[in-house]
Amino acid sequence: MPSPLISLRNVEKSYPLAGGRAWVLRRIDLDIQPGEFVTLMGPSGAGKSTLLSILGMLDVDWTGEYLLDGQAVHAMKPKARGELSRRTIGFVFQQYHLLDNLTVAENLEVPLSYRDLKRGEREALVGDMLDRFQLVGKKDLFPSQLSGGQQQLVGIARALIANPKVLLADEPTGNLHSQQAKQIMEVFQGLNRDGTTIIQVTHSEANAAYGHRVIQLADGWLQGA
Amino acid sequence: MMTNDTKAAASPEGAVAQEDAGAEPGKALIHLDGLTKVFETEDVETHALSNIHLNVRKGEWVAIVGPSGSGKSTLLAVLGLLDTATRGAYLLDGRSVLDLSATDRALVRNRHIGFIFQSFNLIGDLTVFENVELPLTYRGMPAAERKQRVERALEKVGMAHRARHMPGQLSGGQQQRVAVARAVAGDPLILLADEPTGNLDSKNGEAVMQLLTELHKGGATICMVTHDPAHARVATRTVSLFDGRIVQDEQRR
Amino acid sequence: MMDALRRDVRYTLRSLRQSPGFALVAVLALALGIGANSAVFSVVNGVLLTPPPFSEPERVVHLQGNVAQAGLKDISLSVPEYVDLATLSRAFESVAAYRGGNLTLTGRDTPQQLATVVATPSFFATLGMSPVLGRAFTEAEAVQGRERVVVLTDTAWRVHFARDAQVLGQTMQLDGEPYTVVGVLPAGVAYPAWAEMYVPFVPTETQRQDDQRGARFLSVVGRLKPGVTQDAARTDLARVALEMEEAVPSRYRKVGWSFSVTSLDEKVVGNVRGTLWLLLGAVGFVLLAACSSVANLLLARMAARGREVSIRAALGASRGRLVAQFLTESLVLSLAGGVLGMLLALWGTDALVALVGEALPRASQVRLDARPLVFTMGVSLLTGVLFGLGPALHGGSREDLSVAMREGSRGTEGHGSGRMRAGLVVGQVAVALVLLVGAGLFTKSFLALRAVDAGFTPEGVLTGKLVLPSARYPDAAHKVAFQRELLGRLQSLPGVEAVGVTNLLPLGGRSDSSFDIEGRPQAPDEVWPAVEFRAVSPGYLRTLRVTPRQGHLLEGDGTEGPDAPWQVVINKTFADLYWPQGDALGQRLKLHWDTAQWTTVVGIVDDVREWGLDTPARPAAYYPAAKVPTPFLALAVRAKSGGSPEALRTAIEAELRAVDGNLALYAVAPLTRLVDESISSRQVSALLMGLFAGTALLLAALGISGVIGYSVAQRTREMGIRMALGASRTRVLTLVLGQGLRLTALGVVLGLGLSLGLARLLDAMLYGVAAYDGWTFAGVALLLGTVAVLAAWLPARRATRVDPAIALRAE
Repeated sequence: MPSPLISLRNVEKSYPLAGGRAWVLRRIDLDIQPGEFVTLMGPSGAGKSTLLSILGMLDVDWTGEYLLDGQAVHAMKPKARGELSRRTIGFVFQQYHLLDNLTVAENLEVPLSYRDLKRGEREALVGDMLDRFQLVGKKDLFPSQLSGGQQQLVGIARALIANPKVLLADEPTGNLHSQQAKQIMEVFQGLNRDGTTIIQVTHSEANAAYGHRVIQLADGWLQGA
Repeated sequence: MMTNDTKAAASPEGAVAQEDAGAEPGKALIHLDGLTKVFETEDVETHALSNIHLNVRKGEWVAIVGPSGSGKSTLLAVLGLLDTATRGAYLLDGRSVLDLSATDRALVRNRHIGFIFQSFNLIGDLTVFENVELPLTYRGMPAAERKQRVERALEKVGMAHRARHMPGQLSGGQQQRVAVARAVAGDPLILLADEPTGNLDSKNGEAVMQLLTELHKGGATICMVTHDPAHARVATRTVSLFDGRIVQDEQRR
Repeated sequence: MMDALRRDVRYTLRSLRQSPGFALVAVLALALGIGANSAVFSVVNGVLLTPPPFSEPERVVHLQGNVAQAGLKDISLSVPEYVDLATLSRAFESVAAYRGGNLTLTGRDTPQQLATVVATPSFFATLGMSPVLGRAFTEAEAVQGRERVVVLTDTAWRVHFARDAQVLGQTMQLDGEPYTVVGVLPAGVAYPAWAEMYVPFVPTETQRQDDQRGARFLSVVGRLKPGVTQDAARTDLARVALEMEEAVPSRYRKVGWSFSVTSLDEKVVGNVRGTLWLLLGAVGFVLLAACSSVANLLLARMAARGREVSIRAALGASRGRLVAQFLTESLVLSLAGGVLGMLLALWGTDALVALVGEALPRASQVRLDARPLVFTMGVSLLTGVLFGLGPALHGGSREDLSVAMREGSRGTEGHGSGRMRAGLVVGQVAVALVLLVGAGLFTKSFLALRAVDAGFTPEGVLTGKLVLPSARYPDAAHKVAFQRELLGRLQSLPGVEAVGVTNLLPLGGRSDSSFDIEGRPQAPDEVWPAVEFRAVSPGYLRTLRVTPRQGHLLEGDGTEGPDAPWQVVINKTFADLYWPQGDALGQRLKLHWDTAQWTTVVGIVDDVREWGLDTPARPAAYYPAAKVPTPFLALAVRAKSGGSPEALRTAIEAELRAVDGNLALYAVAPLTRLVDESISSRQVSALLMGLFAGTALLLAALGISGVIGYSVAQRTREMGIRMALGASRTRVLTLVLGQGLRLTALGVVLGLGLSLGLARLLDAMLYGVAAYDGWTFAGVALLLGTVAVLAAWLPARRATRVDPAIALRAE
């Protein structure tokens, strides 16, 4: 049996509230294999987005154990965590989170700029990605000049440009029309077929249908695990 | 229970035919006719709302459901006069409100509409009491009457004992109860709730739904956007949106 | 690495282009801070801190006399007094005496006046100046008949000899006499600063007489022996004064005779020191305001870019990279501000010298100084870096990333940084208020002085000076004849209403004398204040339109010559002091002057501010110039009403040439300009303070606008909520304006406190206005309040345009 790409053991998150603690996540045990396409579902406030943040190491204020690509995230110093994150994680956000004052091509280049790459290499990678997502004609536009679907496409391209092992997507179609949403989900499906591990958070049953497995969360607990 | 006998009136004629004049229960409090909202970006024109026809009568509890991006929140914003429509008509309590000036819209919001938001939207620098009092001060109501109203509203939601606290000292559920108190303190014509349980865990979510149920029983007219099918079923009517259109309008009772 | 830097610079430039307002304000604020500071510091440095170009200048002191009982302080010395001082004192390596004068250079195209120092040969050694060419003059040349030698300053060498290396031994026609050039001083070396050349001082036999001890016209300098302090010199001179008292009791006993010792530095810059330090303080405040302005802008900008920081961090930017990026932005801004500031400093230093050069000693020594430039740029850079980095460091911490990302589009500002920004604005308002109070007080002082009744009417009067060389005008008769001839010709010019001469124009300095009143013997221990005397032609007081109060003005037309009767007109202060009963007319008085006689008071006139507009009138006596002929003449010509006095100049000069082709009229100026110049340093102070205050006010307004604008952006959601709840636009506007006014009020209170503390320091520099002038304080506070409302108004209006639907959807 191959070792899981992601492995959580007894992960918990809470914050203090007058007269006790409010729990966001409780006793999460979860394994995700390389190449899986996993959907996190559950009502609002169930802890889906928090779990995704922990997986993406945006949130480091939790307890428990987290092994990513064989490395113990919970024992890492911030610098090493940053390094691991740069190498393995790509993030797609509901609000796209593109940088408004950078062009499409420059937005794609941002993650590369935080690695030791030669300018030529960076330009080649950006070019590839623009080709792959058919964004060549829009490479010099600013985000505000794009439709929501196109912005999210750029967001995905940016997440993929550093060739991450895992793509984390938080309601990637939440701000999109059904037609654009379908297109984005098909992009995810294609990426997954090509080997990228994907974990998405969604409310939509239709979106969940593109994945292999649905993990339900409610009030911070994994359901039926 | 799950009767599906009454389709909502889809035309103003229907509404007029159904109603007789006078302020008795059953009058169309909200009347939308051909309401359309278009957002434009560089090369795309997005129809957030397309040709919406909707009548809501006094005392109804309407759940507005649909996937993300279907236009639910936009519809609620237009109903609450927070946003305007591109085309169509909107009569609130028989009065056309789409072409009001900004000042008049503020007046209508203040007098006739109570808002409950997903993220509570209490003002962090004001106490619970002051938050509830805020819409009343905009009305120029005398202090004594404000105090009486605020206390009554806070009692109604079970938060009277927290009047002096700051929002940051409350849990999410408590904050949402304060927000409900603020929404009802001015005795509005309609309550508009945008995913009122969206930021709450299930227990607190249920409590807020219970509160809305009681308000509804007390005669309140409620329009509520929700993701949660279970919560939608508590309402008396469910309007389903998809890509900016009403695709289903299901009435119970 | 270089690649990353290049990219950071590129992004920085673009993002600055996209917010030109921010970039412009930040760069301007920095430039103003750096420029103004460097310019003023350069001037202060050149004037106050750079020692004069003499050898061991700290050993050079000015020696002056005091007659305490007569209220005479720091007065010049007479020849016998100088001789006493030179022979009796032991504290000095050498002492020297000099007086100012003017010699007319002829033999060229037109006669020219040269500002001349007539000095004892010891002058050069005492001050520590040595010629670059030739030599100083010697004791052997300070002898009657051998004194026709001259030492040129670099300026005179350049102007009159085009730096001719063969100048030594050449002859100059000065006042009709041939003088031989024996030496040239190095560039920049001249003392007093106005000196163009030096000739030997040869006291006349008369001047050496013991009864000439009251003829005090010499300035005296001394060079302290090595190791001797100024205090030791004072002790030494106290002994000298005592010995003089014993030797000549009739003059020095019981009158409070003493010497004062003043360092060269104090003597030269003492007058302007207060003003310069004040300017330096003011400009320091401007730097403070500029830095807090930049800090404020950066804090706002970085906080507003919290989202960008979060996204970059989420995409893998290490803290170091984030810091590098924001550091680049800060540095680019600081650099731009620095370069602009440097230009401003270059220009500002010149402008400042041009503006106040007349009033500034050592103005020629002022250079743009690199040190203050480096210092202020350093301060600005540090500000930029400090405040530019804080948010990047803060935003880079990953703990709040997931929250930041979910909160979506708007950045969040910590309460700390919000409070700091509010604090900075409060500080800016306070600084602006302090400077405005200063500017207000100075302006009121200046206006009060302008409004002072000078006792004469300067409008329409042209003035000029000339000196009658003793060689061709050896005695009173010659001088009187010259005056008669010139005044007669001028009076008959078309366009001339009145004309007169005096030895000293109003506001022009002092020339005083002790005196006796007939029938009123002075008690042995009584000393009357000296009387300010003027030798004027009869037309002079009419020309100046000095109002007679009793009696009449001087009679005749000045042509009577030495045989005319003695008569004197005194001013009201004099009359009131000695004849309070009002019976001054007809009384007789006599100046202690070698040719003086008992003179009848024939008229009493209004007080003229002879010493300066800010100095109360002293007793003054106007004698006929024919009786007290002096070689120093000042001409006053009043144009007929409606005529321009300046237009008379050519005609006047033509008449002068007709009388004596070897005389030069110099310092030709309308009397109004002399009045203006007498208060120009106050005008400059008011102007500069106003300039600085205006800058600070502008910065404060920008600060208020920025903080409110930023807070509006931050509180968009709150505004949205309030509007959703039915707040009208007026409500929202009031809310936001209130925030601006609260900050302003705090700043005003703080500034008023500071001003009350600092105003005391200004007291000595003010005229006609109290340091705690209620109107100024109130007016300034009101002005700031108004500016604050306007500054808050623009962003506040933006708050009312918040679209509640969008604001709330932004969650």
